[in-house]
Amino acid sequence: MLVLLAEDTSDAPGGGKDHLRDGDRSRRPPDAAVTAVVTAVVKKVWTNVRPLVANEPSDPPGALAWARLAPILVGTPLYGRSRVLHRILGALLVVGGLVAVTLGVASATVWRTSPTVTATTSTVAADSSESSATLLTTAPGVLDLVDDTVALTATSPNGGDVVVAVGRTADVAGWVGSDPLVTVDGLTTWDRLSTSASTGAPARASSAAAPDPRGSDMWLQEVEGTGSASLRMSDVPAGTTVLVAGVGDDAELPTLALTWDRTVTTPYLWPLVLVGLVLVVAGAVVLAVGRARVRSRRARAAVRRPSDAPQGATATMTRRELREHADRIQREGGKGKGRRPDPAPERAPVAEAPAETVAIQVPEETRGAADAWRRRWNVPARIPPTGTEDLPDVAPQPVAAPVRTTVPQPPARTRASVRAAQTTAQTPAPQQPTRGAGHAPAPTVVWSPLRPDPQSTPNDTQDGGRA
Amino acid sequence: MSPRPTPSTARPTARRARAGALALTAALATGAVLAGCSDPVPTPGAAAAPTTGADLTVDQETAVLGKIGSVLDVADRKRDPKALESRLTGPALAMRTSELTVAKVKKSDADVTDLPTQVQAIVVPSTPGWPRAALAVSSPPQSDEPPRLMVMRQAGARDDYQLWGWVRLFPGTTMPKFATAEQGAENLASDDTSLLWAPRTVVTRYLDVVQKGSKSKYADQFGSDAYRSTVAAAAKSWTSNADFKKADGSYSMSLSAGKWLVASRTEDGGAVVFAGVTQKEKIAAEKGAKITAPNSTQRALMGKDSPTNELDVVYRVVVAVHVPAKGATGAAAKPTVLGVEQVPVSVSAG
Repeated sequence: MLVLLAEDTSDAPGGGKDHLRDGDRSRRPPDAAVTAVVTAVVKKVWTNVRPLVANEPSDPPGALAWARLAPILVGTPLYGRSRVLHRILGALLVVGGLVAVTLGVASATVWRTSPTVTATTSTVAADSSESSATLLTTAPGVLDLVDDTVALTATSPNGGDVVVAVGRTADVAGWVGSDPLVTVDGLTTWDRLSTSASTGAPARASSAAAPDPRGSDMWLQEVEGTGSASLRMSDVPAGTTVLVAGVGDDAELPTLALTWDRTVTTPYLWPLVLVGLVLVVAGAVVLAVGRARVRSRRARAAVRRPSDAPQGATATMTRRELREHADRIQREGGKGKGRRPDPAPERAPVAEAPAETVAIQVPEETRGAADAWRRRWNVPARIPPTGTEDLPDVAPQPVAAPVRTTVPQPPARTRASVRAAQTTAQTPAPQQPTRGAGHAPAPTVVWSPLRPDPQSTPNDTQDGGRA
Repeated sequence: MSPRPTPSTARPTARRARAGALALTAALATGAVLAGCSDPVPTPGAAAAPTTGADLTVDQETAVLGKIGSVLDVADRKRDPKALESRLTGPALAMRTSELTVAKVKKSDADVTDLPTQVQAIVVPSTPGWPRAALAVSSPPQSDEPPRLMVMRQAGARDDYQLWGWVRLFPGTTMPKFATAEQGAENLASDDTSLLWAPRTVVTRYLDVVQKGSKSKYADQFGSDAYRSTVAAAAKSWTSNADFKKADGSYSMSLSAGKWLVASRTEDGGAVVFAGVTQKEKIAAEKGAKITAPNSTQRALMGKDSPTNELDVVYRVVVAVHVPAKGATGAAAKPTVLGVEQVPVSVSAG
């Protein structure tokens, strides 16, 4: 959410919206705003936490550390590392979201349990009493085990006649009498019915004709067939059971298959799909914000093209006027090519070269929302250069090693030099009045876009707030 | 100074490959978990209490009556008693066989009792065991004929329901109410003690009354009915015959009830008892007399036998008596004969 907050700094300390107009936002560096907001929030938190912390109250060290870290955490592309983080984070979110959506859809389609349950009795007779039995019945409660409607299919192993009769449990038991009987007790797995043979029943002599239940007055329903017989029953009344008999010559115990419908729910579908969509949207937002930053930076680079800026004309403009000027240029010009992964350090205007940056003098009496906190925290304003790699007429020159020591003041007045002269108490963060490049040995060094000065990273962070 | 390599150009492919592998593994693992989750198999609930109630539905009994009716039709058309054996038993089989024999001889269906299987009331049994008896009251066959109360019996679980007997309801009789078709009428044992008299006792006493008439001990327990009148009239017709008296004729009659009784519980707690009775008449005269059968039916049954001085007539009779429950008082505390059917089945010369 800090990414989004970067676009809205209306709650920056000092209030007032004079300097924050919609038109300015496109060019205001987001990371500066982010740092502003973060630092403001941290300041507020600090003032509340101060009594609990036995520290110097006036200088919240954590705040500046926050201000330094915040841009990295929110993916402000100071350097290439953060931008890649941005892209990876966005890509991961999108991929994760797509995976979640796929899983949700799969759980409802491919991995959905079958809505039909079919269970059959085993075709192998377990013992001798079962092997001579030709009668099979169901225990109470088996027919409506899964659902009220059941489809019965009895199949004869040798293709003989099969009879399926539905009758009252007492009638079926009375009819079977003492003949060997196999009873279906329930389900062992979703595919298999468990059976048990009647105990103590004398094995039927193989020569005796198989008992034939066809035509009895007691049956409520009766179906017969050669090879197999099927019956569909709905809302089986209590006390009703089924008698399956293999009849005729060489009758064998039929196998029984019961088929029910069942309701299958897909509880994972919508949660996973919604979570996945949220992740995809979040990842897209992260990616888009990263790209938007780059684009806006390129736009600023186009604005800062030396050919576009009238030399010296902007030297004495206020920041607002400079912004308006840059807007105009941007509209007339085009976007810059390439990307700047990070803002250039503040550089002094070169006397003879066209100014890539403009030193803005912030008078002390200036009252502005964006400036008040700068004065409070001694954070220098800075306008980064954009698109300076497409400045063919300026040859990059080697940059000297960064120097931490105080450097003699350059002839031109930079904001940094002004500030250095004005302020005495400095924050512990290393303060470099000048960017490493260019000021130590010679005043003509141009900031090199290809290699940001690592030394100035903390400085950047410190100064890095966009106005 | 060399440009510092930016992470964006260094290892994005490897990082993305790792991310992709991670995502794939996560997907597979989740899929395995989701697919492996399976519902437990249901088990049947405890066995429901054994249901008491009707052994037959009304539709089933109607189907049974239809089958009986078709058998009767076939036998009636062919006047062949052999076709009856699948669906008739007991007294009904004997009676019907006799009727069809007579019809064949006389070439007339006048003696064949009209047994419509269109019924106006059905009483289903509710006996858990066997034998079971179901009742049915037929529609009046013709305007002047009374309805028949039929009894169908299932001897065992593997037997069909067969017509065991029927009675013609006496005119003016009110059939007692039975339980609803969902509940069924219970079949009582012949020594059931919940009635005023046990079923066997009722039959014995009734036959005693029929036999002895008003001289019977139980004469006041039973009202007069058509069967008693018929029996008395038959006896009188012989004994008051002048020629018979001159020939020293004697007339005797015996009644014996069959082994099997049907007692179906009525709604008032009583029961209707059906009994099969064999009535034997022995008509004898002095030597040299010739006694011929009194009517054409018996003559047809006699067949080619030439008359001698003795005539043995056997009737099969079915009686239906309503017995009130034990503890009934007042006028309702008396058994009522609902109907009787009497058919001569054999006439032979001594």
